[in-house]
Amino acid sequence: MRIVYVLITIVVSAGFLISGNSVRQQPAQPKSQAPGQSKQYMDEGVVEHKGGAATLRVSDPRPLKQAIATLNEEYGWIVDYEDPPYMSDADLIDVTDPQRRAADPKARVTIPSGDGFQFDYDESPLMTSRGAEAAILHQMVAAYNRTNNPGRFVVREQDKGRYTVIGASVKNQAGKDQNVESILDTPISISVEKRSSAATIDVILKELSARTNTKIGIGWVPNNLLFNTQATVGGNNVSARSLLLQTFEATGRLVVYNLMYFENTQRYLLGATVAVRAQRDSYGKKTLIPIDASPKNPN
Amino acid sequence: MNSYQTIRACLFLFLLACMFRTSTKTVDSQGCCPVPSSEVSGIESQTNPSTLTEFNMTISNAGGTSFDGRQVQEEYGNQGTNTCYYAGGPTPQHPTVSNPTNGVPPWVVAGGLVSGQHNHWGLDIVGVFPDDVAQVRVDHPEMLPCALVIFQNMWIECDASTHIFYEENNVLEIFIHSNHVENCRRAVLDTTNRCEQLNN
Repeated sequence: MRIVYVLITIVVSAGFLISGNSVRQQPAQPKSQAPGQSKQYMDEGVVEHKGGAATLRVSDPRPLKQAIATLNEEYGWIVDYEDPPYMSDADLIDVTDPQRRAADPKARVTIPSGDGFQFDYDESPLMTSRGAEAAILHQMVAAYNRTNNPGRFVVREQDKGRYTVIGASVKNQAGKDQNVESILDTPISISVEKRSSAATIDVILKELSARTNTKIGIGWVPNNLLFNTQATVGGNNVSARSLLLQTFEATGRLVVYNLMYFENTQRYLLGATVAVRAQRDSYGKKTLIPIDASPKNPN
Repeated sequence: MNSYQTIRACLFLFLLACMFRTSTKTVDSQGCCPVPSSEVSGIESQTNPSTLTEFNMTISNAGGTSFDGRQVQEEYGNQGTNTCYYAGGPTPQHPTVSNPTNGVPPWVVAGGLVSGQHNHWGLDIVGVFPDDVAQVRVDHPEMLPCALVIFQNMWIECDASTHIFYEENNVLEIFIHSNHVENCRRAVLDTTNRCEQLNN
């Protein structure tokens, strides 16, 4: 009996030691359709590696956003994304639920008209060249801008190895390309105070909304990180983006953000996540690891 | 040495190996230091509640351990689900815990936002911000009520270099209705699902 108890203890303990503590990802599946949507998109982008060459494939209403998220996970990059303010049917599709429209003809729900995007690149320089990330980003954005997907984008280098891909052009009502300003470039002024990171972001976005007369709110963000950390951020006539980046840095973690624009409500939503990198086992199952995980206690 | 002594020796050596391994790897067995056996999620009252719930956890064990000063952290659990998700929408298809790590833990028992509260840690913020909720309601009222489900693992510090998982797959749920939200935390070591309805 003692032997049985000891064996059970050893087996259970071994099981605890072997099991990981990372999120278990399911293999990518075609997206199921939400009401009113007929397009099929990819759950997530994929990168296929072929001996120094790589192919990135995405399919999403915002293909470039999905592409950036995929590369961030694949290589541990810190690249942010900002939608332009889409304004015309040339860049949008109507996904209003048919039953809803039947009841309310004025109902209108739109999403960007993005679809598939594929980018082939040489990834071997990533192993040897410090500037390779920037070069690949620029190549990818240039390739995207040559497609029929919505928006035209530029790459901007920030501090400390961070890049931002910013929407710079949309189709106007006449279907012509029209340059647009990034809302986060807007200079604002907020008092320098110690606040929670969440409250700081709220103050920044409220001031930005007032300055631009545009709705901009907090979307899906790391609540616990932002509420449980403090930031002393502020300044006069400083770009909203700069203040946001200072706030993220004050959390002590590497954070990537995305800014989405919703045409039907004319609202921006700021989303963010802790920066992660994907690890895959021999079966292709993906595990997300924060790229700032402590080396003393690796996940 | 008889067979029983042999078994004891093997087990002792195994435990030594376990302790050695914990210096460079997370140990999630519960034999290395006291861990909570109970965790009750209290709901903080808010002066101006929005759509987010602030959970304040009380932890304890049969031995009456004081966990004050020890770090507590969340980690990824199973893959989350989201019936509020739609392509192009503002919420993720598979929501996760928001601050997974073992490098920058924001929670310390009886510290931070629950400073001085013996055997409390927090706050665990569960919910979706008001503008996010508003967008979902405007875009797809026919999908309501819908729910985001997040799975959360919890570890507690043993010493400066090791920690132990004491809960796996706590369930955090966010329900979006047409005229209110409800946020819930169902900890594995709790006796019930703790929910707060916010009429926003």
